[in-house]
Amino acid sequence: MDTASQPVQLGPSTPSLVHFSGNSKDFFGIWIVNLLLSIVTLGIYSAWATVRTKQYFFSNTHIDKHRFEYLATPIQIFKGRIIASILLVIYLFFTHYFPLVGAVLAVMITFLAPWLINQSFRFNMRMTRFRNVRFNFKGSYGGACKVFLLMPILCVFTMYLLLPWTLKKMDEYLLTNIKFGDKQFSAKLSTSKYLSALLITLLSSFAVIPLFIAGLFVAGSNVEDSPKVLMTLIPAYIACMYLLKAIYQAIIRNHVFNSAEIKDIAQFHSNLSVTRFAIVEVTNILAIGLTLGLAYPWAKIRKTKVLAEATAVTLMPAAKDIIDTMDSTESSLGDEASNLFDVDVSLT
Amino acid sequence: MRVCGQLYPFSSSASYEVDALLDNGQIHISYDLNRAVRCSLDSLSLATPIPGVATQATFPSGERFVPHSADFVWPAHTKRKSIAKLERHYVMIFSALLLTPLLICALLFKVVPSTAVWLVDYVPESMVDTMGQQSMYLIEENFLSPSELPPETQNQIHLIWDEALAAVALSKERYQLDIYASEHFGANAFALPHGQIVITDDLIEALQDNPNAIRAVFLHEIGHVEGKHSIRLAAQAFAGTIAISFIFGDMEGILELIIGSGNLIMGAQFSQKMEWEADEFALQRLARLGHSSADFADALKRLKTLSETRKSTSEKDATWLEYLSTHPSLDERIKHAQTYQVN
Repeated sequence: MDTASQPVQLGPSTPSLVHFSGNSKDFFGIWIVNLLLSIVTLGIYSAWATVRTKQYFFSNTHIDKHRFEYLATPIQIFKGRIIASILLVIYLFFTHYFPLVGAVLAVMITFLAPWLINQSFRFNMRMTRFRNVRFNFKGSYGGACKVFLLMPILCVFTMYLLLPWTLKKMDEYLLTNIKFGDKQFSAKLSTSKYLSALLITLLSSFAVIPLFIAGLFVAGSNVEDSPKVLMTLIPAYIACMYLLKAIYQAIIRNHVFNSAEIKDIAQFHSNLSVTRFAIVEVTNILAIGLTLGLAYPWAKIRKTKVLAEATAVTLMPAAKDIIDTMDSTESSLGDEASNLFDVDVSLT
Repeated sequence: MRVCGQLYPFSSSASYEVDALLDNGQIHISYDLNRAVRCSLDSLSLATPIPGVATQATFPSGERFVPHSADFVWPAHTKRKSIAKLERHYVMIFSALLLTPLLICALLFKVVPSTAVWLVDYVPESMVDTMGQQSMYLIEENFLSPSELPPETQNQIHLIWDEALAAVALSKERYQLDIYASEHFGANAFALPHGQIVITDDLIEALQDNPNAIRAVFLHEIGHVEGKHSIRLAAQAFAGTIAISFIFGDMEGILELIIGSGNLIMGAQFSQKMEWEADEFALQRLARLGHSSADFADALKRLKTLSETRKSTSEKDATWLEYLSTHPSLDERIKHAQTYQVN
């Protein structure tokens, strides 16, 4: 009576498309109800809202019929928020009331930042599971300090000549420290790709900015009429920024995905069209602005769909033998006590 | 009942396409040719349902079963109330749509400002002093230079100041006047929370022939200190930022921008209110001292001519910008001062 089931066959090296099955209608309900509950509970519910939203997006993202899972509990998120809020209160308190102490604190926060980045990234990786195997992140404070603190400072002193290299190193640091179960990600990123992405973005800005200034004059806004200028200038400016950001992100995303792999396990592919992504991002932001935020669920679903459609993963046969290191090497007690800071210390 | 889905054995990346058999309060799944798992439906641990997401069940032995269909509802979930049901309920969605903007406004324009006012009463005196001294240090370093006015003019101004202080019965220990030259501030005067008041050379020059107007400006600035305005402003920005980042923690860029600008408008309105309060203070004291409220109107008028000559663009169309500006429109304030009557 039972259909004796077979292990899912993994075709040798055929890329499988990433599929996103979320829809705006479901997400709109989740979003607006969670927003209301967050406000009514003065923010306490927002931890639950975050988890529900992430679970919605993760669970609706599939590769080969397997979905991603988001494992964090609202309480973990809530603890992280409390810690982050206390830090924020302390910081704001000093900057508003004791500006001198505030300046000292700002320096301290700069040195805390690499740790926070690691912490947040590690948490989010550990809370992501695919096919019963969790991701992990092995970045160290020293490593993060180098790419997020030292290199940017070096960048400033070399008149940003090192910017492409710095951006590459940041992505490389984050990517190559990710583990899927016991298998490490690797990536061969090229500085020249980053340079060309930056140059293309810069060139587009030369094309876009005069266009937008000309547009303003054609629209007949006279300079005397400052409210009207502001009303057109600010949205146009934001749209421009989103356009340029989308161009850069699309190029880099393709490069990063296409150069990343987990040796003998998986290869990643991305063929995101720069024009398509730029159009989606700009129209999304305009729609959100025009509807005072109500189009946000639609925009987010739309963007996620476009990104998923452009992504594919080739899973090799060995993928089914990966062991989740976290479940086997860490006792549940160790997990409980892991450390006070196994939380995403961030407000976002 | 048969439910098809994916079975994940404990702690491995292998997975099996299976049919789960639900019967008599039991669930039974066979997989991998000869393995099987079975337990009562009650002992399954079920994930929290979310609209559009298939609800996963975990067996006590660690295997996980994910149904293919997002619409499948586990028997244990059919009757229970859940957030997922609210998230699908049209009445709920519609009321959330109405209530959310209302509550955001109430939060920004009512709750946050009154929290700020409440907070101010708990700020200790010593903190006010430190706050004022540190701000003054930063302002002095960056924007002020020693006054270039001749000593006699400076003495004259100090005389007016002493008179004004004595007249409103405030101690010279609490209040202190300093004269500075400043490119950045132009013709201006401002008050720091610990009672230090700064007036610029440009403003003194503009009002030199009218000591009464200078007195009115002093009283206005003292009004800011007496009303603890800078502390309220800081408390306001403080409470606003905390509330926004905590409640709307996980929103993306643009929403923060929309809500953040709401916070900004509220802040600007709040400081407009303070200007009115300080005006009120000055007008009241002037009246009590037997001076005409026209002094204050005079001072404001001079400021107006100054700002008009400095900015070539007219502001006559900028009615809505007024909402954003820190100072209420000068015209309105002048009118208010001219028609001021002690009630």
